[in-house]
Amino acid sequence: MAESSNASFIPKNSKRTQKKVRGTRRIYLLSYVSYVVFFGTLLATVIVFFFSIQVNKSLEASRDRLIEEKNRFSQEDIDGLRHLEKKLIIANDLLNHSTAPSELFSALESVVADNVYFTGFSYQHNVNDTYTVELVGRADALNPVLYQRELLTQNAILGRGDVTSFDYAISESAEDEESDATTALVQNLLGSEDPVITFTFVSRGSVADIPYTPGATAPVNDTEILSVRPNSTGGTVADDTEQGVSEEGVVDSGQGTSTNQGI
Amino acid sequence: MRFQASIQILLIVISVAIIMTVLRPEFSEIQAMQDQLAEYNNALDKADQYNRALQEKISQANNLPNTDLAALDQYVPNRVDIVRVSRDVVNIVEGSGLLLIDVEVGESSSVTVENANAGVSQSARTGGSLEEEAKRQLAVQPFTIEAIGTYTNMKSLLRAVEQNAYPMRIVGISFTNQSESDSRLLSYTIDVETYALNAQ
Repeated sequence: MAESSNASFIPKNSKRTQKKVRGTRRIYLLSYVSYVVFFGTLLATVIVFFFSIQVNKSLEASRDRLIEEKNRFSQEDIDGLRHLEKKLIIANDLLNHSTAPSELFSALESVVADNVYFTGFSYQHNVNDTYTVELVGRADALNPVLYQRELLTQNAILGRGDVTSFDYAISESAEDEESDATTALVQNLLGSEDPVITFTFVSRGSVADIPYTPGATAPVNDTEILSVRPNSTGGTVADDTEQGVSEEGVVDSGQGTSTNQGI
Repeated sequence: MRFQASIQILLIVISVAIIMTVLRPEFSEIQAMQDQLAEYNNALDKADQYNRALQEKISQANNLPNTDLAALDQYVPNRVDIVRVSRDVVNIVEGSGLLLIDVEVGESSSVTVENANAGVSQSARTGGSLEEEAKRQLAVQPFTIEAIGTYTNMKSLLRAVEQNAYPMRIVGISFTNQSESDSRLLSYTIDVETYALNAQ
């Protein structure tokens, strides 16, 4: 009975898929990791070894090239060049700071009043490229001194100055002739003797105002220097000592006479 | 199975040991070498630039005309030859028509060009540039000239000094007219300075 129930007229499919039994696949993760790590380490060691050799070779090559570059220049050449450079710097500096004090005299000659004469001069090159000019002048009245001061202060080079001191005295001739000073003084007051006013004009300026420019200062020519030329006051002043600076150079002018009226 | 696990663990241990004892120090060494290499390359670049600039300057210096170099040496000598300068002073004074009374050679000192008459500048002593080094090496040699002559002669002297081939800076002039009798002749005192670049 049991067989008959199994004998079905419907043929059984022999190709009926048998249900596969899914077994547990064993993956050895630790094994893979260990092998990868180990062989990776070995490979890395080899690579690092060769890379190290390569870097070392590059380093040696760079070192050799650096020594070669260092040997290319000599200390003598460098010292020579440095010395030349320093000379050029100094020469440039000296040229830029070169001065022409003779310009002061040209400036002074152009503003000397006719009834004032100068008996002393001093020029001093100070710290920080400045200069001080001190002029000692004489006049027979205060008005010429005032006029001289005005002329000097209007000058471009000597303008930054002023009369710093003056001395009013009777002339030496009066003292010599008259033993009694009181008498001389009275005579002076009465106008019989000329007073002598000695004043000092001090000017300070920058040496940049009197630069030396090649070619600007003409070569000295005696004829030119000694020639009399008009000055700014309308009078005449010769460059020579006799008239330009010394007492003998005093020439009365209308200006002096007219300004004297104020005293 | 247990044997296989032991091998795996051993491999990992060996790998770690290799990493720690070989690879890590090697990497550090390579890194240090690469840093050094970068420094060397940087130094090489600089040396190359320096050499090129140096060669350029050497060729420039070599191309300078000998006359210019001689003029520069005369303008800024390595030392002041006081005998030669004194001779030049005498020639200038006599050439200007003055009667030379005395040429006094002062004591040489180091100064800056700007403060040539003011002694040594502190700023020049502390600096480190080539310009400041040059100024520290600059020596000044003062001379005092005493002469007698006319005003014209004195101006002539000043112009000659100003036009001298080497710098002869006038730092002081003084004269007074004390004489009433012969005022054409004045007594002048002129202070001048010459310069040299001391080779150190």
